[in-house]
Amino acid sequence: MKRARLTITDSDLASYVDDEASLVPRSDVQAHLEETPEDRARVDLWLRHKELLQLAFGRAAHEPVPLALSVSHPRTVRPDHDDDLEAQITAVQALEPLTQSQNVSRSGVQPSHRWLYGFILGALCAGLVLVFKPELMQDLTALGYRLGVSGSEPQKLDEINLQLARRASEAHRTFVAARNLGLMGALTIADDPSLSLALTKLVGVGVHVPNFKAEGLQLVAARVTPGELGPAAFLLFQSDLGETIGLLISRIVGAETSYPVYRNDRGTATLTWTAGQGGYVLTGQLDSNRLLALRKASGF
Amino acid sequence: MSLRLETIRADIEQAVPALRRFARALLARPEAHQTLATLHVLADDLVHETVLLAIRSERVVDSFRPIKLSLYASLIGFHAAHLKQIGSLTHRQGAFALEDTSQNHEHGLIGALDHLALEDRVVLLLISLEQMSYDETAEILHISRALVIQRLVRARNHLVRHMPGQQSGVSSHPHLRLVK
Repeated sequence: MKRARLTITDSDLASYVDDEASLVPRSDVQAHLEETPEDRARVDLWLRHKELLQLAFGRAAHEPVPLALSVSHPRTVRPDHDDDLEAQITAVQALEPLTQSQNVSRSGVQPSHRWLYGFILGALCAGLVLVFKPELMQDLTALGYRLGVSGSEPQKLDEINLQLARRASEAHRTFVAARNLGLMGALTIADDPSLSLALTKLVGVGVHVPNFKAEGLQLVAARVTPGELGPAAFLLFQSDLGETIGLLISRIVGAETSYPVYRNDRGTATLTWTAGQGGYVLTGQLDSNRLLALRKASGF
Repeated sequence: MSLRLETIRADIEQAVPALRRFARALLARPEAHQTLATLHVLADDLVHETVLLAIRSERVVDSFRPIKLSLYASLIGFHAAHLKQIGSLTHRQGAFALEDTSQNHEHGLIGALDHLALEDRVVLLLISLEQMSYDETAEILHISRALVIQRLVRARNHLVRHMPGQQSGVSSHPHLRLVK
């Protein structure tokens, strides 16, 4: 008896290549391919392209995962594959000798651990007092806090500012390069309030797009970048003359308001400050006066 | 941390290497437009965004969908949102001459991928690179299985047309064939 004629479509060929279930049995597709050299060649190319994709990108899955992408360390720094990163960080550190020297206290105890010792001391005292002098509890708890948290707070703020400056300077270099390479096209929704809303939601602190028109700058790109202090918004502004300015906005829990600090990292200047729950960095190849003027115009 | 959350974190951690591979393939552009270092930074950036969202998002925890599929969906969503933000739904930025690519097939492949529409590129990569099934791909993208196959075929035929030196004797136009 003559077999029914089956229609072999491209969908059947795709299912054959991917070993997926199809209404047409594989044997029928194979028979079709034997009779049709043109489709045989096409299927061979599809298979070849699958191999090429694996060859081109497959190795990424076997590379060691950077610490920053480890779920156990979700707040660690964003990975950077630029071999020059260490040199960049060293350059920034060299600009901050005071901050770095403050990182180790005279007793050799890391400042980041000092709050813990303060807390333990406070808890021990509180335990004793609760038994013998309950009325002194409030005073001693405050003392424990002062020994620990208060002692390290200014240094913590310096560290935060330095981290923000490094991150903003790195983001500035990356995104300016990305834009020059055509990876970041022109932003068409610069005035769309949904951009501010989306960034606020993602970053966790109020983000608005500053109006720098009076400074001759307009928003050309916006990105959310990861980092050890949580996600941050990075806004890139550009003038008609090609001057690029970056503004990084990150949520900083419990940060105090700080004066703006100007740094210059290998040609990329940063102006860093904290206010309320936010940490802010302006970046660009500018002097401090210009950055201060932009800070004023930013409204942050 | 609850056992459920620990399991979710373990699942996310396990998916990260594959997500890095997928992100690189999604973002890859011909060398004239992008250095390898830039690609790796941007790809890891995208994966980090995805992982952070997954850890923080209750939607992922409550989802009945396998975590792995949710992660791919998030990553694609981030990428598409970014492209939309910059006003383009394809990767193309100006003309790209295939004749200029080297004879190296890898370069030719990336050049051809660069000319694919995002929706086709995503389907092609999920199936051909990430070894996802058609059903999994449909679930990630919230589209029908038939549409997955349609986009896949379109993407593959596109590669056949645009990969340098591979078209001879091959027609990439859809055919209907009869077998007895």
